[in-house]
Amino acid sequence: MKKSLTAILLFCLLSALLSCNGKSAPNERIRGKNRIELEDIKMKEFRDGEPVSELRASYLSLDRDSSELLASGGNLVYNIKSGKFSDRLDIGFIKGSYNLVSGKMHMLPKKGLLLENNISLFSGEIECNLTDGFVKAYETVRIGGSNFEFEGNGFSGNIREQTFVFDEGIKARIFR
Amino acid sequence: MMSLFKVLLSVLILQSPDAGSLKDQIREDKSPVEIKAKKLKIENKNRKATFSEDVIAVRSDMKMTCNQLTAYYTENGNVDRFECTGNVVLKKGEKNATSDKALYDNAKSLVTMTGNPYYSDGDNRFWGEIVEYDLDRDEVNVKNIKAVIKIKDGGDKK
Repeated sequence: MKKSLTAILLFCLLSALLSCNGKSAPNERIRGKNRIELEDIKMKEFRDGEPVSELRASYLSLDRDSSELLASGGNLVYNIKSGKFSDRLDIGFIKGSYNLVSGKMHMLPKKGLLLENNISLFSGEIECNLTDGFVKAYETVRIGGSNFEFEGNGFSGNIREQTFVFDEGIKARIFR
Repeated sequence: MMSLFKVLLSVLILQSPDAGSLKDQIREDKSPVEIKAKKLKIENKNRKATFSEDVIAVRSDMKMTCNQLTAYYTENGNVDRFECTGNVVLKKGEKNATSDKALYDNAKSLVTMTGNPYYSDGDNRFWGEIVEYDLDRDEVNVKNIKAVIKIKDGGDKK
């Protein structure tokens, strides 16, 4: 995860350097000393030549004082690898914030989180920490597969460990 | 008068050529199993979801309660079976079954109960090693059976 943060920081620094050299992207603005705003961006992070994450957003800003990254109208794809297990987290979001120092993220997903093995997670606003994988939702969450739907409140879990818990109002339906 | 009509009607049904054929007895129930519980833990790496505390699973007129229910799903996100453990109680009409453990095959709609399984249908009571309940056929198989059958004159036969 540290590499992921480094990549974002490097990207932002590179953007700042490019703007100094007069080669800035057409939709880039720098407000004051410590704020960068970008429009229609696409960021890719590679690790050992393998793609790890990809972020697309119609708007992104970075406040370097608070290390707060704000994005809206986009999509985040994150490849999870843990031992032999690998999966793909695909989140379309309306808006989201991410703190580069703490790793805390608040996100309002557009449709849900799509895990590649046909498991989808639909929720309202979620809070998660990309450093340790912690995730929490304040509204009803629904997890759907090919022939089942689980829904409930009091949702929390860990994206990296792929474990999730509901502790209120659980209803499930399993179809044949 | 009404009861006489019912008797005549049932005799007519029994005498019809297709009556009682196996095909008619199998009725695939496509309605979902609905589960309620106080807690749910999903372990996506192991592809399992564990429901616990006051677990109730209902499908049509079948109701099953247990301490813990674990649903297993495939890579394609398809739940193919679930396992109930601890104080398993299954009820369907006048049929009741209890055991320590029950395995529900979702495709076959077959419940296999093990661990001191007991089954009763009205006044008739059965014990065995394994109780298999085919919900589509509404058919129960008990292996190594011990039974108490109620006969019409009021006495029990063992």
